[in-house]
Amino acid sequence: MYSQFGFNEPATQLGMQFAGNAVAQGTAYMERNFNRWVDMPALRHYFNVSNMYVINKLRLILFPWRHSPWSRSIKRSETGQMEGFKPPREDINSPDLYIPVLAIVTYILLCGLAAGQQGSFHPEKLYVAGWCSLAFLLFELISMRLTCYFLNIPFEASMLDLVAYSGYKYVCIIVTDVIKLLGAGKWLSTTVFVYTALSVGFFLLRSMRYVILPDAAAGPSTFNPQRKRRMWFLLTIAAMQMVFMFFLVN
Amino acid sequence: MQSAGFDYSSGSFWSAFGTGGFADEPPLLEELGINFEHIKTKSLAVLNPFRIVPDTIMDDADLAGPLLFMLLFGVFLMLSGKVHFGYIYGVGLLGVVSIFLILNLMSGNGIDWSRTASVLGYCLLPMVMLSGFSVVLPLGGFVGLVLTVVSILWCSFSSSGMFTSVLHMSEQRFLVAYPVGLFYASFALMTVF
Repeated sequence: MYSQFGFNEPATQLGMQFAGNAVAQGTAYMERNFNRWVDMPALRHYFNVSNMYVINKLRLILFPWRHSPWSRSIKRSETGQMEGFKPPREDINSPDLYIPVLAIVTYILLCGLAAGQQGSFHPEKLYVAGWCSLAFLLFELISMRLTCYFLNIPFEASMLDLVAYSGYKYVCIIVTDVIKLLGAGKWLSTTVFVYTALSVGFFLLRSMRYVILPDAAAGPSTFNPQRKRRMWFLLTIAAMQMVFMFFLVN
Repeated sequence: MQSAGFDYSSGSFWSAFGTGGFADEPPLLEELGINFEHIKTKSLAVLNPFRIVPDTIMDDADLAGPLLFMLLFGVFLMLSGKVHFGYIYGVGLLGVVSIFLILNLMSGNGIDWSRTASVLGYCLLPMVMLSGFSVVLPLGGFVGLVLTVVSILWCSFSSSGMFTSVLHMSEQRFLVAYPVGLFYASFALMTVF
């Protein structure tokens, strides 16, 4: 190939081929390991959202009081068996990962903006905000899963559902932060904070019911201690949102 | 690497230093993959975001236009006193990788990173115009703020239009526009502050 330079040797061509093979092998190795840790089709299901879904979901997080059916739609195969849940595009009650991921990114950028407005911007603050969010997320995830294990709840939802539900409170944190950035007084920002905390708590109460109380079809007549403990657990999750929000709002 | 039609045996080592060149050698621009017609078409597509973008517009994902725009952006920033070439490179790289990940997750068929880089780079054109404007007029006041917001919206609108048509995504235009808008907002932050 490089005959004009006088390197018309099979060794050069062999070397070129070897390099090409090495690069291709390296890419294949990376892709294999990536696919082992990250399940792409499952993730794609959570990102299968549409414009109207996102708008309605945001409205639901901030005003969940009047929404009526909270159960997720089930996708059935031809024989009528349950194949999984419908994607977020077709079901407003299905959790998605688009809103939480972008809410966390927006929150980190808003932290930077708030620091810049106070005149003390430093890229370190963005890293601190990022790691804080990640730490809170992991803490919530692990504590929810462990409590489900201790309370003997059959855990049929996936961990990504829990990640999605943990991420929805960042929408409320963003709303409070924007109100604060626009220069609202102390009373207004506290009112907005309390209202959004209550609304996301109620939203999670209703949405996570199917995770924590799997036999929700049974009426309140079955008030055994196990069911009471699970209801307390659900209420604790909803209440902890306000605590987490308090630590994350700057 | 090289297409058919090259004749390596007809030239000698020293013909690289002369102006004669090899026989059957294609012109330099074609060899480098810089196609001015394409650059002009794509830039016009960016400048008119309300026209429907054909979905074959990004079939050749060339990076020459985006590199030119980024260089121009850096030069205009330098002319207004801010030497931020490293930041442009870093923010650009980080933004391209994250937009590439999000688009791969959201669309039915995936996209490769050079095409995302190409679309994002072409739609940087309004931001380049803003930075050129900031050389003559400082962007501190109300007019500057309005211009910055308009250029961010223009950039994200045109690039989300290109992405949705190239990837055949349905009803997801504003969902693509939001992360892309954050990407261009960080460039705008560099221009203004």
